[in-house]
Amino acid sequence: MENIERLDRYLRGAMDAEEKAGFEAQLAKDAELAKALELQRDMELFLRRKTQRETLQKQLPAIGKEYFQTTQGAKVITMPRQRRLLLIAASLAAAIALFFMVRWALSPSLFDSYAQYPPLALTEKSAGIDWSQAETAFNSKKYTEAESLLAQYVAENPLDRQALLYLGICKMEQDKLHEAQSIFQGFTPDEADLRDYADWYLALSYLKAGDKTSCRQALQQLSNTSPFRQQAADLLNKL
Amino acid sequence: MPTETHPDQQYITALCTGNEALIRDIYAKYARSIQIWVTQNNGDVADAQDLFQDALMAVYDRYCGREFVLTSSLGALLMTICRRKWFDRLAQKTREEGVRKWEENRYNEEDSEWEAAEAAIMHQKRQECLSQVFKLLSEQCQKMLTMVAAGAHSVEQIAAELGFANANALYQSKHRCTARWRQLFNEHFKEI
Repeated sequence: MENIERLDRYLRGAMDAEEKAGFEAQLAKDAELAKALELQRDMELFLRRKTQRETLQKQLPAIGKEYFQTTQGAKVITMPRQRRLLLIAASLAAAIALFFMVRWALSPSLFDSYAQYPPLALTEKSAGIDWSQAETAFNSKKYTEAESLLAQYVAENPLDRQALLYLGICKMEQDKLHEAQSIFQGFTPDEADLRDYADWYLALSYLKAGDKTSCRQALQQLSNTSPFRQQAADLLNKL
Repeated sequence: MPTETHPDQQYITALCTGNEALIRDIYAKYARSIQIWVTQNNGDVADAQDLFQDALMAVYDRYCGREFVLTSSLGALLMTICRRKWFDRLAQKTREEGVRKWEENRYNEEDSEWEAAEAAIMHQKRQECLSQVFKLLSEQCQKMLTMVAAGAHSVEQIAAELGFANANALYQSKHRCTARWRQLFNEHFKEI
């Protein structure tokens, strides 16, 4: 009790200079007293923040719902039968038209001619672990093997966003286009250089999917400083 | 160690003050990469959301109400806290594999991030334990401690409202409540 009173007086600034100096000298050599003071500070902090902390605990789940979403969680709206039939017919017509347009305009070679990647270099970045296999696999276009190794690397080095970009490329090359697009879309404007690459590869992923409209939109949205602007302009002319 | 204030300090201030627009910015900037990482490590989207929220609370408990200078990016700190917490959860679910991965990653982290994450998690555990055992105090103790800490009324006013003879009697009671709270904390709290 005596100690609690002293701790309380110290934290309230109720000690005079002499008592305070004595208390601080004792704190410096008494680990138990220092520990007790730390707990007293935490208790006071808890009391001061109690209401605000509880408010934040309620606020975060509500905001989080909007930023963490699964496709399964999306609402399903049932349409009237006639509208459904019309929609199916329209979709079929669009799919057939798209199929012929894609065959005509987007031959696989168009994707291949633009899908050129700088070599992957992980070895110099890794401490102790040899990631040269991932490099070799990627640089020799063995994308299945490279994907598996890069997934491990990214799991262990989540801050290496460049490696994540290459993981996206591996997925794109194996036609895991949604997964690839999800990675490319995850780059933020703060990551300016990598974002330029991610935006370009996103456009290529649409090209690979045969989605001409999205490809064109993605190309048009490349930043003014993107190193791919010339290639994007060429590709837009061919679409 | 750099000592300049990092621009991300504004986000921590936003957490401390409940600024919803900037809290949304935090989610917009970092939720996606946490979700990708968690789903690549045996978790689902719900796990990622829960983990991210838990990490934000750890940041709140570490920094809000204290003097601090943020010297590295909030994104890196959040990711390290999430990783640390996720490996703990894995360790609880599948002991061997989880612990192995946790140990592997423990030594791969950059020291400063790792230390900052550890400190945040420790502060969060202490605050959560304080919260848990606070509820075990009498209603009178809870009310008095909260009113005194809020500082909205003078000690004399609080003493009168709670039926104490004077401020001194209130302080004596406050010290007894604090001693009980402290005792409960020491009985319940487990170090990491």
